[in-house]
Amino acid sequence: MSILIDQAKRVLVQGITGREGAARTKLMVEYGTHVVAGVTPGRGGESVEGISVYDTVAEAWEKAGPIDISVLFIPAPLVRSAALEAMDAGVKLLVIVPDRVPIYDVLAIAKRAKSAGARFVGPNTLGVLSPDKGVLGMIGGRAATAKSWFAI
Amino acid sequence: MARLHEYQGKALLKQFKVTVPQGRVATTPEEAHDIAAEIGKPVMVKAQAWITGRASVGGIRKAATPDEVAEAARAILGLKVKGFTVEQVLVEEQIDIAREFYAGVIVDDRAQAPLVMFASVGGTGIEDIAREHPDKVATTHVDIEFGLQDYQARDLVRKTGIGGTLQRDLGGLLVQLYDVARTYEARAAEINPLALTADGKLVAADCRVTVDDYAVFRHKDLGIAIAREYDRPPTKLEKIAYDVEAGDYRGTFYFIQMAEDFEAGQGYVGFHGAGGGGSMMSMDAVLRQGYKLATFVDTSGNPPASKVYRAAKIILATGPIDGYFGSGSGVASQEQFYSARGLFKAFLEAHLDVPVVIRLGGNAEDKAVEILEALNGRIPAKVEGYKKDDSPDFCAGRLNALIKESADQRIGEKASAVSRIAYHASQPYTFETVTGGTVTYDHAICATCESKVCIEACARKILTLNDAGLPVLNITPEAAKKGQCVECLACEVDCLLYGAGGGKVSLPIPGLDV
Repeated sequence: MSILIDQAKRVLVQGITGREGAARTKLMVEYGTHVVAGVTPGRGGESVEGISVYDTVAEAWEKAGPIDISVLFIPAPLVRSAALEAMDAGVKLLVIVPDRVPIYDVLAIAKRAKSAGARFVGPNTLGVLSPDKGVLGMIGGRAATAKSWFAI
Repeated sequence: MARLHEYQGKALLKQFKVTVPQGRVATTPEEAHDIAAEIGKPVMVKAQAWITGRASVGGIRKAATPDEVAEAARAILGLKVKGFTVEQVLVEEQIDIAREFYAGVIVDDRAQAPLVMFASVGGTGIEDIAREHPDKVATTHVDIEFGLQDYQARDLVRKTGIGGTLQRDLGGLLVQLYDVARTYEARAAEINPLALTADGKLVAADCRVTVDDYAVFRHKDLGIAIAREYDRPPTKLEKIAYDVEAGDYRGTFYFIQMAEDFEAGQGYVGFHGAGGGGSMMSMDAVLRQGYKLATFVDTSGNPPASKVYRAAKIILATGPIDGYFGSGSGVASQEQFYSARGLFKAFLEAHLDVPVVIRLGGNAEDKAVEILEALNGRIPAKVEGYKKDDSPDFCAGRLNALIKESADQRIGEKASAVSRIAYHASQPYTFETVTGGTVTYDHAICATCESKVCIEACARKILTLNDAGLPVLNITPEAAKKGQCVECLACEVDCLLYGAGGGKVSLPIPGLDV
């Protein structure tokens, strides 16, 4: 049984053009996660692993359709803004991978999540994986190893 | 957590209109004398050290005249308490305390909110008092979006049985304290004791402020050299290491120097972990073999090869270690060959001659071990790489065996190795990297290369062959420098192992003499 992630969930990657974002998007897609869009401010119009990049989460939602989950690969100082952006756009589950996010930023994210009815995993998480269904974040590294390590 | 000294905390409180005793910090008895003369009344001389119970070790003294102050300062400066040498004293007016309170703000992780605490009693042993008299303590969580409101603060004070103008004044002070904590992103900010003077003023007699390590970058004015909790001032190498960490957000590099001024043969091992839990388990494994640690280091969270390289270089700079042990998480999600390349480059450059055992379990571990073991024959040291199915204890045992072996060898003849050749590119092609590094290709060598392995091995595929069949950037040098080149070190390490060896990456470490 999967609770947070399966093949039907529509996933956004914030920071998709970065070193981690690009590498982990490949992992997620190869594993079977349904990544529908990416966001990097100022990089709208590009694509990563065949996935369209938008400038804002709201734009991604408008053009690529509804988003269930956002995975954040964002430098820690910028996480607060990115997380609030995702929740304001209507995303209900965030997976915040980066470490070293300032604690008061996390408190602000937690407060907003509570009022928006959203949830978040992290910061400083490897991510979420449901065997054979989908992965969010960086668990398992390459899809092949993730599959062999986390088999049903 | 980055702790502030009392005088630094008081400066922040003052900035937010909390009354603090008149005074300043001094580093010499003469300076203390002059500050006392300026204040013109009896003062306290207080050691500025990150410890509790300063009074009990003679770190807090009363003095009536400037000469007495100089004497007290002389006694306190240089005092060693819990491995910390006192370098500063706070000289401030004595206050006439009629009553003491406690006021504090902490981040309550479980409630995901700041927690404000007030007690109608204060001073030493506040924890015990709070336990015995819960009615004298009141707490409330704060809405992070709106901050502590004046009425909430007053109600908090009311709950401890205080009324009237004192209730109002204490409420106002709690709001100021919260604003200090919020503005400077304190994990904890406490005023204890919070004194009510005989003439009815509230004065912060002492305070403790610890700032969230992860937020220190936003508060450069605090002058925190290393955003980590130390019970002693950081060493030179710790400062160098911290600068590397602060200058590169990719992955985590944690460095603690455990020993200084040791000699070869004393059993010190350079310890280099990857991932908190696995690192500690691995550290224990080395200790069980009877060794001591020169360092405790953790490079994790998928650091670039360049960061692991710099970490290794700084570990090697701690002194004549008897061995180098790397081991952390067994099933790392990060591709381990990046770390392997960083270690390879550092050991090669150092021409390391003490045994190395590295356990890089996890993703792409086969490739990682292959790279590491390719050091054998290239440096005098014996290098063994291990994977996820090899336990830390087994690996530590291997290190022990290799160290014993090499000690025997030292008496006889040491293993020979290829000597280092200085790198001079005759046809250089260069570009810069995000952390101040430089990638250089000697196209004269590249012309002889058959594999052109760099093109395929480059993590971000930013290299391409030009018309002459030589590797060049397929992006602008500016883009490479902005971070498109992720310093994966393939263009040096894989080039050396599988190509013609024309690529070289220079990665400076400011402050490190090499």
